[in-house]
Amino acid sequence: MLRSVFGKTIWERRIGLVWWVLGIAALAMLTVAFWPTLRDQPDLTEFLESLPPGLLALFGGADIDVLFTPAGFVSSRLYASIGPIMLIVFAISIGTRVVAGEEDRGTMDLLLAQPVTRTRIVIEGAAAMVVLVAVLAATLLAVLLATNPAFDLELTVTAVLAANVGVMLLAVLHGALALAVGGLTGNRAVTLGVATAVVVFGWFINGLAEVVDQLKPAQRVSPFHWFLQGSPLTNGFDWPANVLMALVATGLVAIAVWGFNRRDVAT
Amino acid sequence: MDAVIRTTGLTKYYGETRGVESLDLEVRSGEVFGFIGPNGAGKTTTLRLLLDLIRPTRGRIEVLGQDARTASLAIRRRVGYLPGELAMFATMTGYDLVRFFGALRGRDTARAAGNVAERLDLDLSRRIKDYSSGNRQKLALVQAFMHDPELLILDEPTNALDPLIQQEFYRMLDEVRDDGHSVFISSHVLPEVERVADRVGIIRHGTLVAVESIADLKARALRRIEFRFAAPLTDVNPFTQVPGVKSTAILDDGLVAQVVVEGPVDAVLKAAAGREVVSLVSHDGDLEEAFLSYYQAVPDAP
Repeated sequence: MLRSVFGKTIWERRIGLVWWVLGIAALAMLTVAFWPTLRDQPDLTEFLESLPPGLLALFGGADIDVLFTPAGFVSSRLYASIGPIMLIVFAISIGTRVVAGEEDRGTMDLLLAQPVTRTRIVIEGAAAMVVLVAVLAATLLAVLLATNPAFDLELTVTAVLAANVGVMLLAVLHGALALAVGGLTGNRAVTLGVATAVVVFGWFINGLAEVVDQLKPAQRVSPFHWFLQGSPLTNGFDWPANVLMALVATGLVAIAVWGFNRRDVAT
Repeated sequence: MDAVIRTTGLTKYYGETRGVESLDLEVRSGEVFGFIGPNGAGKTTTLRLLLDLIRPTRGRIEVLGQDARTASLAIRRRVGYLPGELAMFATMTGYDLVRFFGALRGRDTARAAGNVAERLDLDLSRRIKDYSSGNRQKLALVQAFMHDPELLILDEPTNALDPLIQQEFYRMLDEVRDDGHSVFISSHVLPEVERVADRVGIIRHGTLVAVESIADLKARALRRIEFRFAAPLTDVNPFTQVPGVKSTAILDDGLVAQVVVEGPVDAVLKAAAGREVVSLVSHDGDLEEAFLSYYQAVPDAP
């Protein structure tokens, strides 16, 4: 596997990836298994209705009626809160590692002593990040498709596929952001800080705008909004949103290439 | 091609901080060039500029006849580099690193790497995180040498190497030179450069103070000779007027004379020849003193 920067980036994650896959699979299974209980618990419905709408909105369920459909419930857990956050954290950790992390550890000098261009390091790192995130998204997909019949989720294959393509693009976008900040600065702490801030901001603004009308215009800059606005787990593919996320991610990788090529390698 | 490295007016500032200033450096094809200076003088800055890891504020850099910036990829194919601040992929084994870098170079370097590792007494099968700092340094040497580069750029390569391995490393440098390849080696250890280099450049406070051939320096090196006579020298000091003598001292009630000489010692011996010499001790010309004469010429404060 250690034949290229792409291979090395995946090689470095080979053990961590197993744990991520198990974690995502466990999360998906527990979430799905919880659905019949939730459906048959009127008390829980009352409890949820008593919660402040802002709190519910953050977890993707401002509308209680939607939350109590299988798609609404699964979407709120696996695609609006903990699920995408896990994928995003994974993507950001890889995006940070490729440039800023390598410089932080001091290994970039040795890598760049070999005949590889900085452009190639960024692009192969980005490609590896996409593949690794896709493995997690595929895990989520596999668990949902496998458990769907047993727990009466009534999800269509297209809808599950659409939601996973969407969540993967959402995570890749944030990983590409980390790559871009790393490419521009070469500073690992700054990279993690900026990427985390963007995730937190995007997530909160998207949730809060559901209940605070004044925030509606700001919601449009949130990648979470791009991904969730079309409710892919209910309505299937939202191609304009997917294309938008893919374009932004590509643009961020281009910025990473430009930024890394123009500056000194950090020590 | 006469020069493998040529810099013209090379200047690097990190913001306000001086890295190197107006460096005009030439390393000739087939020579081992020692780059000497105290820590912080700008040695690592210069080497990283050659590798296009950092970019000059002003000036031009040519490596192997090509522009260091635009032709960096082609240059790095032909160069072996050992970084000064050494960090490695800790989870790889030595073999992993050698295979990975070999693949990036698009050639099978496993056998050559194995040979270098054997000479340096390095076990490639262990994980890098379990290596001592000496072993990491050896692995860094392996990756620099394994593709038989035309030019080696080595930043303080003998750091953390034990003396026996250093000797083997010096022999490897001799072989590189015998093959007609070139070496640019930085060091703050003078005897090391004296052992391996054909010429030396002295850098201080970011400026190139002097470039000298080792042979010239040796010819100019000061030698300290101590005579012990059977009978005391009375009133006259026979060495004061001898050509090449820098200083003399008469000790032990005139029984001992210490003479510091630059260059050949023949005239000094002849001056002593009229007397009965009990013993003679010669401290060999220390290049350190030859260097110090340069250092003292430069104001100490940056």
